[in-house]
Amino acid sequence: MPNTRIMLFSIFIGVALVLVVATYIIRIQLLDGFIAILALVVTIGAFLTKNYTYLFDAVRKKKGNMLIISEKEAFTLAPNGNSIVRREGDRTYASAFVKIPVYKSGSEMTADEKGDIAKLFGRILTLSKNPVKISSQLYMINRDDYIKKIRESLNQAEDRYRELQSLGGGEEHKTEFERARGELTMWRNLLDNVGKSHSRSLIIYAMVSAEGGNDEEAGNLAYQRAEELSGGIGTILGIACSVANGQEILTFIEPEYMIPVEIVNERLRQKMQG
Amino acid sequence: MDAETIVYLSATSMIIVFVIAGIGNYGLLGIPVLVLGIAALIMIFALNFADFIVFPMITKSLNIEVSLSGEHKVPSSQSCIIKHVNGLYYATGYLTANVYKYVFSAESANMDEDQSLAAAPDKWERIIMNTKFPFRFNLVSMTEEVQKYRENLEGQRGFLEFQLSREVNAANPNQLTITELQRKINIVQTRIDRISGGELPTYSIMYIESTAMGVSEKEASDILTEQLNHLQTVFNTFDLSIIRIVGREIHALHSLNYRLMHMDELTKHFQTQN
Repeated sequence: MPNTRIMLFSIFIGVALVLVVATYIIRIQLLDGFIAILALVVTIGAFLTKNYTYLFDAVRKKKGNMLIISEKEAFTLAPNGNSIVRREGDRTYASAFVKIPVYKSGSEMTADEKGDIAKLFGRILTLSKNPVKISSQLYMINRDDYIKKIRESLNQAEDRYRELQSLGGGEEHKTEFERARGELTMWRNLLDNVGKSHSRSLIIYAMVSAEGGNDEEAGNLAYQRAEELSGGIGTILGIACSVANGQEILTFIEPEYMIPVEIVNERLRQKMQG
Repeated sequence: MDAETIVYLSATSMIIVFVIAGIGNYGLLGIPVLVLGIAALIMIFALNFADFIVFPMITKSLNIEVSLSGEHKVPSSQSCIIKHVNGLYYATGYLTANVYKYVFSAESANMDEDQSLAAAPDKWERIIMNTKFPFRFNLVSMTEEVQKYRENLEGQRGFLEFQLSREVNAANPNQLTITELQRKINIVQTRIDRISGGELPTYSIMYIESTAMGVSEKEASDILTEQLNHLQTVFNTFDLSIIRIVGREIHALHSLNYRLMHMDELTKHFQTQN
């Protein structure tokens, strides 16, 4: 791209210079005027090559008022299933994603631990020589699935509570009994409150990219970089990271995976009733 | 301003000045060429320093849209990316998350900095709890070659020391200038010391993105604007510069979802922070 930009700039500037010189050589006033206006237009075109070279081809391919940079899919899944592939011109790029499962809340940390976690994330940024994108994503989740999981956990907690109750109120089971009762209360409260608003999930992930001669080469290289990064992040934070695959990757890329169908249907129902 | 921008501005300005200088040759078209020449000069400087205003103004007035891929397009406002899926419209918009420029003092522990780091997880969790829609906080980072960065810093220090010695040996040395140069030398020296201590020079770009859904483009776009306004308010607690991104930078940010660029390419599209 830089070579294309420099080449286009040189061509435009060259043409503009020729036109300007022509206005000094040709001594027909009106013609000189039109050539001068053309030189101004070409000069603006030369400046546009600085940031807008990618739109020049889009203008050539335009349909009506729509400039076409590309009409192809934004990406495809790599043969290894662990990365996505994108082609830009004659270059093939692949990107892989590393899931970073951090579950600890700030409310569970001391002031020193909070400062440390921020510094640890700073160390992650210097793990790789290649560019890395770290993202923290809040997205809506399917409440029905979530409620189902809560019910399952509630049922297990109830079974455990009944089992401990049937053993009697002996001292040896007292602590465990109190814990089981607390857990049961927690799941019941969660089930009562889950219906009050949309359920959300927070996920942190890292993304790395690689360039290759074909889909497979780029995909394998991206996966390898992701694996290295996964190991490094896991060591720094003391957690088990993993590389995302298949459908999981879509949650990090596609906007429709951030808002599940259930919420879409609910909003459409509200619109129709409203 | 970098060298490339200087070349672009000076080459194009020079041609426009030559065109205007030949006004006597254009007869009746002299005044129109003069007006157009001045307008071209203004446009070039506007495109250089404020193309996020000029470009959307042009696309909006001509109702030009840009197709980024088969399913993604940028509307004429250049303020978001629209994806049309299953009869629904998903609008994704972006905000900057730039750190305000200030100087690190690494010689002694900065109490404020440690307190800020300790407060960060709580502030972040408050933002998550108060945000009821999907969004993503992104940080793209890349490390620079240590040797190259160090040589750059030593070059800066050498130049500042030369300026300092010239000011000190001047007939009427200005104390304010001497103090300012000494302060700058300390800043550069601190950075050199940190590199020598093992830290890696890191460049970064931070931005926030959010997605809204609607049954029409306008509805999705309006809901997105509300969401971005909310994020601007809640993220102010982090002392970041949060501004909505419009124009060509949106095209580049969209491609960051699918592949990360090398530093040369990233710095062409965005200014990085280090």
